[in-house]
Amino acid sequence: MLDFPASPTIGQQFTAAGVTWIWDGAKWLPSGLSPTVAPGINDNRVINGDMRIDQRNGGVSGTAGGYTVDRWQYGTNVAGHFVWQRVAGPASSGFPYCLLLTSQAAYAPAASDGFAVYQAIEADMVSDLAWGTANAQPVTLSFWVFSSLAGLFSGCVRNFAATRSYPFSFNLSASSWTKVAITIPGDTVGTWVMSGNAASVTVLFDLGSGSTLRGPAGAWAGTTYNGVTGAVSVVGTLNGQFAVTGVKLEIGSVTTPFNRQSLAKSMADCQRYYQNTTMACRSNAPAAGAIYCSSVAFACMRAIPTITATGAGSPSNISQAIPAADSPQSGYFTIVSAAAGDAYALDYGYALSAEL
Amino acid sequence: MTYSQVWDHMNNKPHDSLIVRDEDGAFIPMDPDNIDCQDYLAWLDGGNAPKAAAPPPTLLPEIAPVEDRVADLETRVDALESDDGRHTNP
Repeated sequence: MLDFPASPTIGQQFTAAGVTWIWDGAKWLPSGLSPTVAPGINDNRVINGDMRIDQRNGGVSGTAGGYTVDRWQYGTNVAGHFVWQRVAGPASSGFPYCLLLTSQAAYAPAASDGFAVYQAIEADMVSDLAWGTANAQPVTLSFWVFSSLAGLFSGCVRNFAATRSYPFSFNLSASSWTKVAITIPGDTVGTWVMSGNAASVTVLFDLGSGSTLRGPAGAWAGTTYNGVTGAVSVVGTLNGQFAVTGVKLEIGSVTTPFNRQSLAKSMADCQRYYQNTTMACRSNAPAAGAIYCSSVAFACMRAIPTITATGAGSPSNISQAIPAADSPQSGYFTIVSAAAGDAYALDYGYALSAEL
Repeated sequence: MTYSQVWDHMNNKPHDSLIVRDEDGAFIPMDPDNIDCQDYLAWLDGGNAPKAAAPPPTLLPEIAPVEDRVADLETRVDALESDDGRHTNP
């Protein structure tokens, strides 16, 4: 029989019969085991929650609505109010990058105005949540967040159709990184796409929205909300800042550590939705109008991607260069010669997008 | 937002699986899972139609019929034979 100390404190050690025991707050653990017991880590349903991957911009700022760092969109119906950029994050907390949004003018949103940063999640990534059924599972959303302003901030989890919304709020002190964790009950009603490659759950942070896009915190509502009534509007303050990183959405009501993935896996996750590539084709044409084609392969995407030019490349003696994708992982590049002789299109840069 | 057809050079007809969005020149596949395609299909449902793709001009040289080419060769041979005698057998 071991005579453990009464009322131990966390981390207190006790040695008996050559074995050292450590109090973990609830029980005594042999010290040889304690450091090796890894905490359970649930899968993160958010991609690029640590904002590391920025294929489009490589850390360069932007103001347009649409994608910022990979998978994260800035959305608004009023152009020209925020600058967004991947910048240094709370490195001492393990997050060297964050997504920063800075207000460019003090603006009071009209009733239907919205400013938000958000990520839509593919249905097959959240099928086990079973939302829209009686077996709907709770989720826990955790993130590191910073603002130059203090007060009650807000966000929302909702379906992609924006017919079911769960606003949430969190308090911040000015200019201080804070970790926030919020448990959200599963939605047992409403229409949720819970399988397939379409969008399902959207995680959204409200940067300032009008009265019709805000509602009460902590309850599911059958309407479109971005955040919570009365919460801070970052857009309402010139140079107001809002930064976020370490975003994790996991099943259950317990917060587990942020998943530390290899860069290769994080990049592959992002490339399911967006990737950059180059295409090339070259031949010796006998005359004008000769047609040549080269095949193109890329990492498998969510759907057959849209292709947009990102760089002119090096053309010579061609009248046309046409990229095309014919599957989620392949395509072809066609060139048409302008005259007889060496005809080519080299290093043509293209963005492939199969976003939600 | 407007769209234009793309000429399918391999099959010598307008592409049936690719459309160009005029605003940014994006090449959009006819995949209903692609959100840009969904926008295009909704645009079509609104009674719109893409600009037609013009067939490319025929730039390869026309090849004359065999009879014409034979006649042309015979004319050239005749001209050589009646030239200065250097091309005839002794």
